[in-house]
Amino acid sequence: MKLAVSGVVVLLALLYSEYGVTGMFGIFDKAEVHLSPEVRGVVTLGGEALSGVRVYRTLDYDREYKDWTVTDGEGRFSFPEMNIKSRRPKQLGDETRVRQVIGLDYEGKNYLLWYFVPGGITPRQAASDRLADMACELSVPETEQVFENKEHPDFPHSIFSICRW
Amino acid sequence: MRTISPRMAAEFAELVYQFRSANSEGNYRIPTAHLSLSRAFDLNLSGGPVLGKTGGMFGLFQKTSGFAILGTGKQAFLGHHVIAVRGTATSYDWLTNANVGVSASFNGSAVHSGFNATFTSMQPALERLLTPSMEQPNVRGLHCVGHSLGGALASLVADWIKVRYRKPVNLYTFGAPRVGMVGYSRSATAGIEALHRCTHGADPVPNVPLWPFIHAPVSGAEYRLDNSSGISVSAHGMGEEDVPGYRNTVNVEDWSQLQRRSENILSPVVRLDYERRHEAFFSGQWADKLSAALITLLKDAGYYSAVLAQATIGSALTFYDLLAKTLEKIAAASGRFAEQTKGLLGHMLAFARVAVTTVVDLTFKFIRWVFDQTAGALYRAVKQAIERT
Repeated sequence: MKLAVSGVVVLLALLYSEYGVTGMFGIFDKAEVHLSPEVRGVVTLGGEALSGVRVYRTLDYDREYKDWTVTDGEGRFSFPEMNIKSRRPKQLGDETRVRQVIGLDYEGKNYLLWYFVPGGITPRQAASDRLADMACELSVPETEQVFENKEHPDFPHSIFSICRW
Repeated sequence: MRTISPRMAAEFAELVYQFRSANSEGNYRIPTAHLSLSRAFDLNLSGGPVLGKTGGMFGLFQKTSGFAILGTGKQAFLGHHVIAVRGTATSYDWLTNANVGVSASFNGSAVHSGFNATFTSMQPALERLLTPSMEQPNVRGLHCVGHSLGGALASLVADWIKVRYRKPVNLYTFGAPRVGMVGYSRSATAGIEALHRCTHGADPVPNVPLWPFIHAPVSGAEYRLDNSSGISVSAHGMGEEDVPGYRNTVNVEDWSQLQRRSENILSPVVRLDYERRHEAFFSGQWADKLSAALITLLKDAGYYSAVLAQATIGSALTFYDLLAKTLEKIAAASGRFAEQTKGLLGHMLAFARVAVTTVVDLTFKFIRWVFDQTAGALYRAVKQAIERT
């Protein structure tokens, strides 16, 4: 029985991928959604690198995608770029937004390294530049920071972070 | 009463889409420093956002039917409040349901029963959110804002606020569907200080539900923000990446910078010649024209008020059944009305892209079938993959 079910699943998966490519049925059309560019940063406290600290990243779209890492001997951490395929962008009335959050807990306190809601599902260069180079000094207070949107200059970005660039 | 700028209205309409539950680590922020609204309004998040139906806090909001946030004015907007509303997945089903019913709105006029049910589910939470602000002295006015279904809900909220708190109300909608019938639109037109209804030419949503639902104001005035035509799904989008995207097309400081046009949607007299039916094609313009032709026929035959009244009180018949029965009666009454009915039905078939547009007879059954084809074509455009993943 289990075999039969998985057989059907495989058959459906094949059909889906086939028609997904040709776009024969609109309902199988998916669009790529950029959830996060590559992330690189260093965590320090009073200028001293903090190693062994767990850093998390949550990316929301249709659901939450979560990963985490631990800082190395020099306080460095990184996350890979992440993209998904989704039907949502092509649906009338769908206004789902991406949310990127990066943070860490240290000695019982939560530090927010990045909180951003991009205005779309494609990469934003100015945000990617910042995420590729995060200096996270835990003694610096979190602020809301506004910066340019290179792709859509009329709509600047705003993030919350303890990092400065 | 002051109005908020087109840019600010669009910022609010999009901002409600950014609200979601905290992530699994409990992080929750609302970035607003990049928006012009942050210089005029503070967001009140102390009680969380307003939810319809299932209630509860953030975690449940995917399952709820409506959703709103409140902004409190400062400086030049001291004494002003903004309420921005959105619909959620479950309530979008109402947009694609051709067999809509009507129910009595807060002010007693006939409105879309689905939109009204969603509004009603939000009402207690709205009351809790708004009453403290509305009881303060010097309330200068309330601005209701919404995109898409949120626009329909904002319209019902505006009416309710007017009656409940007796304060001046402005309404700003982007790509909103029609909410009610003539009586509702008249009362909304009269009760709301300024009504800014924004549309894109190819946005299908402002075309539904079909007549007898009409937009307010009854003058048909709207801001048509682009020159697109036909029907396209992306024309409905709010965001900066959408084409054209309401954020992009209203990103100006003053309403006078936007093109205002007015098509009198109530009075145009349209009688359609059966032989010219092939001129009709699938577009928002023809959807309006078919509505006008239907109204003209009902008026010519003296059935207009009777149909409206019957539709309003509701009955076992669906609205299209009632219309089809009436047209069958009208067509049987005289040769002239039979011709006019035939002209209308032929154009409807051409609009709906039915292969054969020959009107074979004027029975209830056939007329009802033509209505199904017409409504079906329009709703299919709206429905395109609306079922969520």
